[in-house]
Amino acid sequence: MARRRVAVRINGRPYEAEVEPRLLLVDFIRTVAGLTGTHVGCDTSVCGACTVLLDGRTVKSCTMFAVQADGREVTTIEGVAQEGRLHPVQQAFHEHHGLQCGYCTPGMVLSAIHLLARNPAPTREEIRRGISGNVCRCTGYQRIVDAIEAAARAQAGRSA
Amino acid sequence: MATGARKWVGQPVLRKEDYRFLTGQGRYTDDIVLPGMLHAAFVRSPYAHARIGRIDASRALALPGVVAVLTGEEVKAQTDPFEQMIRAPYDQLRDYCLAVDTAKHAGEAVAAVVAETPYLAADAAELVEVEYEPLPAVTDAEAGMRPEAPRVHPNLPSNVVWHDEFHYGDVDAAFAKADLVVRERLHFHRFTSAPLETSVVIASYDAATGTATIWSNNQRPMLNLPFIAKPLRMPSEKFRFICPDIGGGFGIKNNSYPYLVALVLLSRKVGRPVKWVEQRREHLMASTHGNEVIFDAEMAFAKDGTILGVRARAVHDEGCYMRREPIGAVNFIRHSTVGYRFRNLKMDLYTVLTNKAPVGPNRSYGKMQQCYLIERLIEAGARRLGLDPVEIRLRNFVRPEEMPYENASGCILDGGDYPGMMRRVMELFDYEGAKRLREEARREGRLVGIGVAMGMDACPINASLIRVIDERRQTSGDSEAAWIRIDEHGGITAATGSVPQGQGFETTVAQLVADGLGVTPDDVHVLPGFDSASHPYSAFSGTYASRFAVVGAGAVVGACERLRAKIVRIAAHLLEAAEADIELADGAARVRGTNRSMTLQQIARVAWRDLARLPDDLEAGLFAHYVYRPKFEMPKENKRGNFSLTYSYAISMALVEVDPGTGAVKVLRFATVDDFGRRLNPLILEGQIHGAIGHQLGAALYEHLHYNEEGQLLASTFKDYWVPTAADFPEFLVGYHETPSTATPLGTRGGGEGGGSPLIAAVNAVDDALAPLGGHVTDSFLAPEAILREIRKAGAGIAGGAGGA
Repeated sequence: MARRRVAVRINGRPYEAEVEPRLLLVDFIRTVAGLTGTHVGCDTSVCGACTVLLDGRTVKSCTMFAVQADGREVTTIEGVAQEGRLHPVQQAFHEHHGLQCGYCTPGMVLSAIHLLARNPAPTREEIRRGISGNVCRCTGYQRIVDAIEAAARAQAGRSA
Repeated sequence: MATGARKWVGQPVLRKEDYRFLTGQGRYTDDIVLPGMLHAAFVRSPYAHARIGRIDASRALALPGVVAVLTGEEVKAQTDPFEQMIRAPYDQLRDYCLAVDTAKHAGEAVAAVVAETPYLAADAAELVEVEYEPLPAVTDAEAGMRPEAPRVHPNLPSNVVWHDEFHYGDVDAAFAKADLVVRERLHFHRFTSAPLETSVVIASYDAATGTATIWSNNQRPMLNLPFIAKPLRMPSEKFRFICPDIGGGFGIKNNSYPYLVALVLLSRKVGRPVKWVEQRREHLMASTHGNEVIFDAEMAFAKDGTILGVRARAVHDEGCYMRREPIGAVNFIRHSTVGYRFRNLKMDLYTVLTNKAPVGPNRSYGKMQQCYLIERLIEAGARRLGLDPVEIRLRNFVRPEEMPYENASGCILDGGDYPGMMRRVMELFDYEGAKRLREEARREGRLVGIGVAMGMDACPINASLIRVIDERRQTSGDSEAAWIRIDEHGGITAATGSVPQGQGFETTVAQLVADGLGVTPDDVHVLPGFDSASHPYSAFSGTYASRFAVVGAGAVVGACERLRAKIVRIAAHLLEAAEADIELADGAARVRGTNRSMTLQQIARVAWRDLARLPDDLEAGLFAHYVYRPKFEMPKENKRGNFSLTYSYAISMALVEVDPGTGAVKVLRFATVDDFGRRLNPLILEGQIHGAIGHQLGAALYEHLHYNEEGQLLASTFKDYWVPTAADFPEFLVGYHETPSTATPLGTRGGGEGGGSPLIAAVNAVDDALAPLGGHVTDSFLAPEAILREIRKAGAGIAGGAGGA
């Protein structure tokens, strides 16, 4: 297979490489860009551990090829905190114990950010549906839902 | 008090380890890249049972970038088989890190390839040609018991590799005087906690020194060391094990040692580090499955609902290798009668090999299966006697005033208030309100049911249980290790042999040390993960069997006490006071009632750097190492004993509705109340309770590792093995009923595995929903097809559903 040149901006930085066309975006992110915060948890596009933002929308990076992201903007978990300051979603996950082993957390945080961008005041039902593309095996989800509710309140400027 | 005032332990301290996970800077095994590292992939048998003929790897090796291939023949020549716990002649069972002579389950690794990249390794694996001669497969454990059944291991006289009878009290007398005997044939299904991170191994064998360094997300590397060193014929001291951050374990990553052996072999063969990342399909097919059991059981009752006795035959479907079995089968002993007072129990256990993946530890290992047996029998009795399921349990509970209570198999229940917990969960769930809802729904013809169940998790495990399996085994007790250092600058570091997979030990250990030394958790740096070169460990080290709150905490407390004694000695010497007058608080040692004090940093500087000021006979430094062991004994006569120190328990209640058209179950309301004794960190502990509910409800409703008659696993991806999402669960109503353990210094009990109550409550609820139709559930997996069969058997009279009769 002839290699192709791809250029992807990740968290505002350009990454360029010659890759096999079959290289998955998640593997480009992890091994070419060296950003290992995006994880792989399954092989059938179900679990969402690989969730990133592509041009601002959540995608499962295991279900895209790197060549499909050529010329586009990717945000991974490493690009969420700004200058060491946690995003309100990250802060809420911490305060509400929304993580245990941390493996689903990057994808879950990005899905939560995207959910709140589309729906700034979701009900708990809406939150549950909104993160139903992200599997967690540790938390039973309850505290994750609490965290996202709290983040929504924080982002709306209301007190928690 | 030697251990210091309790200021931090018991508080919901936010987790210290969160930052790196939240920002994508966790370091999991696949995040590690070593210079010169190669990548491995496994070639796996598509057949459940097949003779392995020629393996032709020439096309694979011809591919540029493919470096080596390893086959079962080489493994057989270079390694010794894994040690077995079962008695002769079954200890001749041959278990290697690759299939030898025959493949014994669909997905068993038959060969391994090594290449420059993971994609190339996958390409190479596809090019390896293996000649298979398919053989008849054993896929039903009871069929596998028959003498004419195909043999899973041809060198063994039978597939029934272990059998024993356990007889406590006088079961025959109990049944002779029963007013009612219920009989149930039950199945407990295979499922897995399926951690989100699959198994990953990096092995680096250094020929110059004969040492192997292994990075892996295994939960108990030092306990597994004998199962790795001996097969590899390497001395144990030539291994270094590193566990980076682990993305969930739940027991499934206890037994990954065959892969550890394979990767060391591969690294030794190619002379470079080799990494293997398990695919999800491989994880579901070829890691560890939870115990699967068929029960034929009877429970004898007096007419007022008092349980007189139980007798049961349990047939364990072990898969094709025993690994650490029959521990899962024998684990029933550790809380044989759950929370009930009856003293007559006969368990007739058979462990049977089948052509399926091997079973092993899976959250609530062998414990939820026993709870399921007892709870389902109680339900059957309640139904026949017309008793409320809550009432019948209240009548049979061990009473708080009887604690500590030695049960029929010798378990010493360490406190607990079962009736009090039942009242709490009834209130939390609004049992009376739920019953009214059920009556209304039934008047409308809807299939609504309520279930209640008790679960128990005995923890930690007394290894003398292994002597019950084979009395010649030289193993007993349990232990864990910790060390704490205060360096000359006053920096405090602590480490344990526990291997965290999300349980927050960097926080709870800091809380324990903070109380022990009079500092704050922020002052204590806890080494993450595990590394045998730096962390302390014992032969039992690891995180499994809910042991941390007892043995991990015990080790930290022990190390604190040693260090504290030394600090007090030095402070008393330097401040010219009596040791009894020295108290530790706020990072300093102070003479009580005065303002004379020294900071820990000042004391540490003397201890390390200004040595002539120390008492003459005192060793320099501020470092304490401690190996804690619970007071565990050998088994008593008749296979009795206290094989755990603590018995955490829970009661769950579920309100469910069954869709008569699809057989699907919806959980409308779910409540659970737990008691793990005194809580080290209530926030972390609640997270464990939620997670256990998630696993157990998931298992009852969605998750089933089922094989067809040819031994093909029909749920080998997350598309078929449905791990629940946030949209699949109701809100959990969770309460805590704290009674201290009578058996541990801190009053903690081990906890977090769940004990089975959420799963069993869901099953009981569906059984109740079908009861008006005469329907009955006998499987722990609530398969919609099975539920529909029950509904259709009952015939007409169902309102509101498509597809009704």
